[in-house]
Amino acid sequence: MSEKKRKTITISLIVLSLVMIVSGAVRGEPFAVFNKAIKVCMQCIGIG
Amino acid sequence: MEKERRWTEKYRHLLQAFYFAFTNGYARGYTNGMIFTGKSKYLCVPGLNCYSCPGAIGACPIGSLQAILGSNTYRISLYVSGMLALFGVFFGRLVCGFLCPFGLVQDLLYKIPFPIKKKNLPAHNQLKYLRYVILAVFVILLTSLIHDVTGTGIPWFCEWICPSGTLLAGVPLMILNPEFREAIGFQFFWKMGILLVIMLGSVAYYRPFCKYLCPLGAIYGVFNPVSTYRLVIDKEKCVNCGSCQKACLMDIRTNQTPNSPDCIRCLKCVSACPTGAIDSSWNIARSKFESRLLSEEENSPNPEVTKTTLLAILTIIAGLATMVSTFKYNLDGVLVYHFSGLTSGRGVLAYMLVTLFKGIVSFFMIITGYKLFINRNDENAVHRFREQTRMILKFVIIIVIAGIASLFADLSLLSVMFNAILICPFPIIGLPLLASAASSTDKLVQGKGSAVLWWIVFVLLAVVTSYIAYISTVIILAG
Repeated sequence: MSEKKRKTITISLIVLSLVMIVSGAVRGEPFAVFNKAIKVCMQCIGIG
Repeated sequence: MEKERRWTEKYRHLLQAFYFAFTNGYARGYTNGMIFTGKSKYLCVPGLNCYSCPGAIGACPIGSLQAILGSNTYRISLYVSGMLALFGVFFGRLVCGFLCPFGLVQDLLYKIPFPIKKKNLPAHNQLKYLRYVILAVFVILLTSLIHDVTGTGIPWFCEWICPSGTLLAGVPLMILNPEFREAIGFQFFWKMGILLVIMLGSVAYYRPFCKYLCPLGAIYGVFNPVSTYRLVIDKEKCVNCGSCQKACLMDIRTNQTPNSPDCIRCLKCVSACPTGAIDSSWNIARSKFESRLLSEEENSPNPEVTKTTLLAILTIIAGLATMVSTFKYNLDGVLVYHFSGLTSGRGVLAYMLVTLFKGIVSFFMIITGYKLFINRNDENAVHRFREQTRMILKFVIIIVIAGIASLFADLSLLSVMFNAILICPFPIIGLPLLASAASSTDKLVQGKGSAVLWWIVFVLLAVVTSYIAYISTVIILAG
């Protein structure tokens, strides 16, 4: 892979991931993550 | 550079331990058997770090991904996928080598002396694809497709496989919380069995979980060839001696596939290379940047002019930011308070005085910045600028005194005054620093102290830019 092509892919991926994060945040996904993360996950600790 | 390479490899475990302590630093959880519930859990940590660990201050990316995939509201996760992609594109599997707590556990277990020490399990070349199967089946498909009576998907990977969750969350919570102990059943013993097999396996084989089972490693591995952190081989220096593969515990032929999806960036190959042919893209970029800076210093006709121009632009930006914030918010606020009669007369007066002084400060900042810009070729311009900033500083001191005085007049104004002063941090923090930077004119290109000052100036530039962006966004959103 040429250096120019690799750089283009890297920058496109950074932009895409930022767009995804912002879109997800607008949809309210961080609240779902937060709500899951602040409660003890029974499946994770093995008593699911 | 050789010394630096060895340093990175030598202190990798210290960095891993420090990061582990930082992301699992909620000490109270280890005493009361409960978990952290602060707002940092809106964000995912890059490594496989269970959010139910009593000390965890962030969310596990694989757990969060399953939570969204299985949620009856979303089904597809943009937020967590975006965060995983961002970590991946910046670091690739550097996360596995430096930031994963379960990776650290396996690294330490492999250090235990044992008669059989091998890199790989038999059928390594086939088994290494198992992590992709686990990602596709346990993390994505089963969680998305199979739902319980409430329509919520079950996090299959967390429930039946994840040894990190068992070790970091299950074991401590079982020890600390008697209520959880009472609920122990088959599933807990199953997960403990998996954990024990992996931990015992890690004594004889290097990182078996990362090699064969970890879905997070599978995701980050895909980004290895395009991430900003990559290994680069200098073909002219490489003598094909095979030292890199001998040193690599992930068993990668680094000189041929430096960015293999299996590489966890432990950097053993970099240290082992006798000719110094392997280097990281970050190191190369830094070297290029440093050599460019040196050549610019040599070729630049007059670095003082560049510095003066930068100071002038910074001052104008700071002045504009302060003015926008002052007249958009504070004067509006004063009028609202005045006409609605929400605060006492003295309060409104103090608030108006602060606003007025801030307006004057921002005006002088723009004027001095402009004068400095048009006189940037004049040798004495920076020294005059220093004198002028002293005058501005006097105004700032008056603002602070007015703020403190108003607190004595009416204690209820505490929040108003803090707001008024904090909303324009740049003249209070930034100008004295700019003036100090300007005063060390002759040392700005060389010298340790001046380098620190320049870094501060650049950081402040970033702060001001963000500040303006924030204000502009708020103004646009407010219509």
